[in-house]
Amino acid sequence: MSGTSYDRAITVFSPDGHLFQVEYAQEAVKKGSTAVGVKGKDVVVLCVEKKSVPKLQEERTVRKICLLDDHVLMAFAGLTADARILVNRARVECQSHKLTVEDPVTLEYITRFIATLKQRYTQSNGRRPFGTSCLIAGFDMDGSPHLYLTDPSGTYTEWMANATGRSAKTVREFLEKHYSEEAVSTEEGAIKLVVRALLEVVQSGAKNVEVAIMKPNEPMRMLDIGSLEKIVTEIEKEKEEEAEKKKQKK
Amino acid sequence: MATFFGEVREVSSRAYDEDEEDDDNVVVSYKVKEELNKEGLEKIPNVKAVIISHGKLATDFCEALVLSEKCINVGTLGVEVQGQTDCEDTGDFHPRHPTPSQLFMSPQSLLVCCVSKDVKAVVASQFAQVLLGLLKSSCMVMVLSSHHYGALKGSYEPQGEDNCVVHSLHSPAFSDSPVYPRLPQPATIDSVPAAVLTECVVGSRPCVLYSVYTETYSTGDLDLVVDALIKVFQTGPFKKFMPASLKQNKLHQYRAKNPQNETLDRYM
Repeated sequence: MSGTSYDRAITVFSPDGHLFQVEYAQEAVKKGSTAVGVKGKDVVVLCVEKKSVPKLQEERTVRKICLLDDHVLMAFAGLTADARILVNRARVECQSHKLTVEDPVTLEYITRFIATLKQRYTQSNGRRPFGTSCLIAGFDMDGSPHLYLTDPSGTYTEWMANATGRSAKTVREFLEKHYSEEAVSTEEGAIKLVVRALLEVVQSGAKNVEVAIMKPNEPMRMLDIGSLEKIVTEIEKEKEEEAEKKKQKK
Repeated sequence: MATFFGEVREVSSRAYDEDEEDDDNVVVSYKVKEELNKEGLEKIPNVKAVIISHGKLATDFCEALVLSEKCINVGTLGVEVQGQTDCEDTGDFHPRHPTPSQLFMSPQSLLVCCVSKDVKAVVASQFAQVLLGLLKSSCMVMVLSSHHYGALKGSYEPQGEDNCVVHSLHSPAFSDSPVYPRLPQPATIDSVPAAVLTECVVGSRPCVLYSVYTETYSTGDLDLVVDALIKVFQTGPFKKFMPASLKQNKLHQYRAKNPQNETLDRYM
């Protein structure tokens, strides 16, 4: 691709302004399975593609959604080991902040912390960027929901809905078409939107997705398999009805 | 270095090669060999069209969507490497035999050649000559190749709902209009796609090349290129070779059957 000497060192710009190591780190993010996040009126939902676990592997070690604090959720895509380091550092920072200022972190603060850490690794010699992109969701003390996305370059942005990982572009386009404030004004609507978005790029089935839900002043909960199956069945039925309508129009 | 008797003997440094210490030049040569089975020998000369896929996503597209259960394997095109002996020559601690390129035939007399990743630029011309030598001169040729968007060397702007950019080149003998716009300068093509197109221009064969550019090298991103590549089969001379409807579950089946594309747990 580049075939030049500008892609070997993190601290070297190419003549056209690229930091190739950062771009390669973004490629690593695209190797990870898809994660989708949606911010509703009083709910935040993260949904991830669940990889099949080998028969002899302990399922609990394979987790794409993590709790950074009681009110902060994170889903990531990319290198698992890099994500583990970020999660550990973020958790320590959350507790340190609470001890120091006696208030829990805001979503913006912890996102900025993670993004700053990532940026530092794009400007240091002998290091490489984190090959992970993070969706950080939760509620501030005032009850306002937030959803942020960070990438290996250290950029962070706030979103109403977004996706990262493999096929994120397809999912993002789906969200752009179907997201509306009415659609996510209820918990059920937000969950349905996020599951439907992920099922655009993942094989249909409740066993292929994992959904985490957070509401203000409530602990995170994972959607149980029974409820997930109901939602997936509803979504498939709606898709069939839409396909039928399209056929009749033709 | 001083010897036992005190004389100083010059020791040659490994930092440079002295002419008289050069080994005999190792000449590496390549030979492309076709191995056709009985069906291949009977059917290939009558083939009406051939699709040649080069690059991971293009090959994945052909394997997942162009080929069906009714297609038969009619042979292979292999590359024999002569003169390459050990890891000092190759830098490869596990030297391996190059994987042959598979040839498939569909019921509609479409030959599909999935070019192996071991077919490098140095052997591309020979490969193209051998492959096209099997076919009659009126046979329509389509080359599908996939690249990273860095190879475009220009602006990369996916249009509409596409998640990739597709450009085309064609030989003068190709009378139809390509579905996608011409490859703009300064982008170039190389290796097998270039060799095939060159052979077709020289041999006055109808040939169209579609090169698709995506933002990612990642495997498993076949859905980035599916919609764009299907369009090349919806019009023109290749329309009759494509299944009438795209079956989405073929994509899922393909991923399930190719777990080696997924790196267990290193990426989540």
